Order: sequence, then C-alpha cells, then structure tokens
Amino acid sequence: MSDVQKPAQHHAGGFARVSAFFKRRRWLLSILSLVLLLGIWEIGGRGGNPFLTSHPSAIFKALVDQISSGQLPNAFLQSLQPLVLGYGLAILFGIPIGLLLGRYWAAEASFGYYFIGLDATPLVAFLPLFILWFGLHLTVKVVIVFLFSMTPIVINTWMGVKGVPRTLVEVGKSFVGSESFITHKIVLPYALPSIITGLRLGIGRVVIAMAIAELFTALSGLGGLLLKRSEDYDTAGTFVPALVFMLMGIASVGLLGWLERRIAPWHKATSAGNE
Amino acid sequence: MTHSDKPILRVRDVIHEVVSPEGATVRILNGVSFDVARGEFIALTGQSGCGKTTLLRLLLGIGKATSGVLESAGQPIRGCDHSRAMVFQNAELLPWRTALGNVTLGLETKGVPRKERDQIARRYIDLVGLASAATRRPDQLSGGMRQRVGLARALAVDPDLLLMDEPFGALDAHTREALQEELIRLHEQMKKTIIFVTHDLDEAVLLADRVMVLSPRGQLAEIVDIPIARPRSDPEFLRTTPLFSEKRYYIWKLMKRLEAEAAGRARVSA
Repeated sequence: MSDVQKPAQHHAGGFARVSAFFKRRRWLLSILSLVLLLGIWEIGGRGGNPFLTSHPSAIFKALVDQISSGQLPNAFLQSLQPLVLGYGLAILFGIPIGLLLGRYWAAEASFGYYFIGLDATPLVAFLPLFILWFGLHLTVKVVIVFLFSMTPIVINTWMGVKGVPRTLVEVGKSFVGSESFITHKIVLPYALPSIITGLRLGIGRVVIAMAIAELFTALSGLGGLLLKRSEDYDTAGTFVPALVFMLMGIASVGLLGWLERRIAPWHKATSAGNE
Repeated sequence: MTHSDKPILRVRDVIHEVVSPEGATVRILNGVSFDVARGEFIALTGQSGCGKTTLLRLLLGIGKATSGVLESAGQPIRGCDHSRAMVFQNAELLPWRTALGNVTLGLETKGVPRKERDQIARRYIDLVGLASAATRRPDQLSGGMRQRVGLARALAVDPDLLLMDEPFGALDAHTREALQEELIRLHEQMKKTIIFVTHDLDEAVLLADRVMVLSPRGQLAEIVDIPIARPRSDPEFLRTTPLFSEKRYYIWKLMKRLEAEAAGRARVSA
C-alpha cells in the first residue's frame, strides 16, 4: 500500500537497487562499456573508407590471417628477443646498482644523480646516436630496452633500500650479523615490495621501448609488421600488432602487479597505502 | 675470588660525546662508573635525553665510547657478540617472518644448524607463552605478543647479559603488568643478568635489585638498592607494601631534585 502512495520513493528505491547491483559487479560495467564501444565502432567504421579506418570485425579477420600465415607469431617471437634480453639485463644490473646506492652514502653521492638524470631524459632523443653506435639490429634494440627499463628498477631498489629502518639494521648488527647477512636477510627482503614496484614500472616501459626501437631501426618484429601493414594501406592489419603491443603491456604489468601482492603479503598490513 | 664473584660488567669513567648537526660537541655521558654482578636485575632510569639508551647501546657494542672502560666478563666490549642480546623498544621484528622465524634470527648468525635452530626457537617461543601463535607474522600479533617474540629472540642466543630498552613502554597497562610478571619469573628462573631501561618508576622498583638513576647531565646520580625479597611472586601485593612505596618515593624525589638542579643551571647559564 505504502508503495502506491509514495511512487517517487519507490522509483528511487529501484534506482538504488540497480546501483547497488552494479556496485557489487563493477566488472559488468567495464564489459558493458567495451561492448558498447566496439558496437559503435563496428557500425560507424563499416561505412568508412577501408584505407583510412577500420572496424572490429575486419581487425579480427586480419588477426586470424596474420596468425595463420605465421606473420604475427614470427614478429612476436622476434620482438620477444630484445625484450627478454634487455629487461633481463636491466634486472641483472638494476637491482645491485640500486642496492649499492641505497646502502652506501658514498655511492649515492657519487652516482645517484646519473640515474635520476637518465630517468628524466627522453631517451628517444638519443636514438640516432644509439643507431650510430650499436647498428640497426638486435644490439641497439637490447640497449634501448635496457636503458628504458633499468632506471625505474635502480631508483625503486635504491629508495626501497634507503627506506629500511635503521633500527632493523641494528637488530642485525646486535645479533652479530655480517654485512652480507644483513643485506640478504634484512635489507633485501624489506626492500622487496619496492623492488617489485620498480620491476613493474620497468616492464611497463619495456613494451614502449621495444615499439620505438622497432619502428626507428631495422624493420622487424611487431613494430616492423606494423609499419609494413601501414605502408600497404592495410589499416585493419596495422591495428593487429598495435593491439598486441597493448595486450603485452597490460599482461606484463598485470603479472608484476600480481607478483607484487603475492610476494609480500605482510607489506600491505604494515604500510597500508604505500605507493 | 671465584669466577662468578667477578662482575659481569665493569664500567669505569665512561664519557660519550656526539657532534650535533650544528657542529657543537654534546656530552651525553659524563663519567659513568658501575659494576653489575652476575644474575642481577638493574633498572636504568632518568629523564628523557639523559643518555639511558646511549649507555645501553654502548654496552651492547653498537657505537664506541669517547673514553672510559666498558668490560663484559673481563673483556673490553668491542662490537656486538652473542654474550649480550638486546630487546628493542618496539620489538623490531622482521615483518616477513613468522614469530618462530624471528626467534631463529640470532641462531642463524650464531651458526646453529637449521634443525637445532627450529627446536631451540620453539622452546623459547613456548617459554614466553606464544606456542599457539608461533606461525603468525608480526602484523598478526598484538603489541604485547610482539614484545614477547622480541624477548624470545634475545633469550634464544643464550646471552649472559640481556639489555632491554623500554620494552614495555608502548604497551597498555594490563599487558604491561602481565609482561612484568612474566619477566620477573623468567629472571628468577634463568638467572640472567638484565639491564632494563624504563621511565616507569613503579616498573623499576618492582623488577630491579638496584635502580641506577642518571642525571640530566649524563652522570650516574645514585644507585638505589631495592631490598625486596625474591621470588617476587605477587606484584600486586608488593605494590602495596611500605618498602615498595618508600623506594618509589625516594627515587621520585631524587629525580625531581635532579630535574630542578638541571633547570637552575640552565637558567644561570642563560
């Protein structure tokens, strides 16, 4: 009865119910938005000039073509090589360098600003020089990926190590821990969440660095495929490697984010809201 | 003189100076001398900034005195060793390790084999009453429990001398009383020598055989004997006895006087 007498409130209640429904299922809104966007793109794109625009179904067809012809898998594997090598080297050098900078004030005072500077430099500006020095093939790509992704690893490791409370290092000293014991059992574990944040920021740059390297140097990998498709005015085909770049970026950052939460579950509890 | 009659700690004319950020030399400890006998419980008290923690750190072996003698079991103190262990103010546990893992820390540096390490750690976790929480991480423990882990970690290396830096200062009254009782029991049972820094006179008188009072100038103003018989099995009752009140009041008055003297001196020099 009261519902009939107060229709306005009933309406508000219905809206609140819908709102509550979506609030508990946020992913549903994300999917809805994506479906809507793709739908509009599909309908709008179909009427357009295929040399200038494309639409989802054509891109999907190009994707299937590029996979079945082996173009995409080949390009992907070609891209993976400098990515893995460059990022691997960045980890290999970045963490120890960051550890040294954080642990020893003399190292920090002598070399710290190089890395801050390097991090702030748009490395693309040096690309012509890199090509001059390292040629057009694998080496230059590895160097670019390495330089792009190393600085966040160095800086985050450095800051993480600096953030280790002095008293905790003193605990190690008080129990007669050697320098190596303190580094391995206290400093590195404490800095681990920060190091992984560095790895996550680093890998976010890796995909960007790889795309730049491939577009500006020898045509190979996904970047090369992208350029070739666009030179053939194959707009749908151009979208495919671009989307793969995007997915690689999302997947790698997501993976590291997951690792971040898994490796240091104590971190969230002790320093909520950090980062 | 038998070996056990020798003082476990001998401190003579210790002066410690630090350079402030402004470049001025500040004297933290100014000619401190005392002996501690094996098995004694010493409380160390005094105003904030009078050098209690500095003295404790020198005894531990972190930092070096500007001048003077610090000997542990007849040997000059040079750096840390396993004969002295510290219980830190805020426990300072490794947050990624379980309670048990934290207790093994000192055993790892001592070179105890892994299997034995776990056995010893478990024994000390039991001793401080945390058997049921052995696998919890520090963020899953209460403040009192964390401090118990800190105590177990220090005891596990089987030190001759236990240094405790205001270990119960941050705990609520109820938890603090429980831990005080526990510490009295452990001390009487294990015969460890303990130096315990505290601001709380009640705590000092309840726990200690002697209370050392540092003056604001970093001098040892007085060592007050607390002739309350052991075992001190009923702290609640002890607090009501005339001897307890008398000692507590005596130290309180002493500290008031030192404070007034220091304030007077400051006024004169200003």
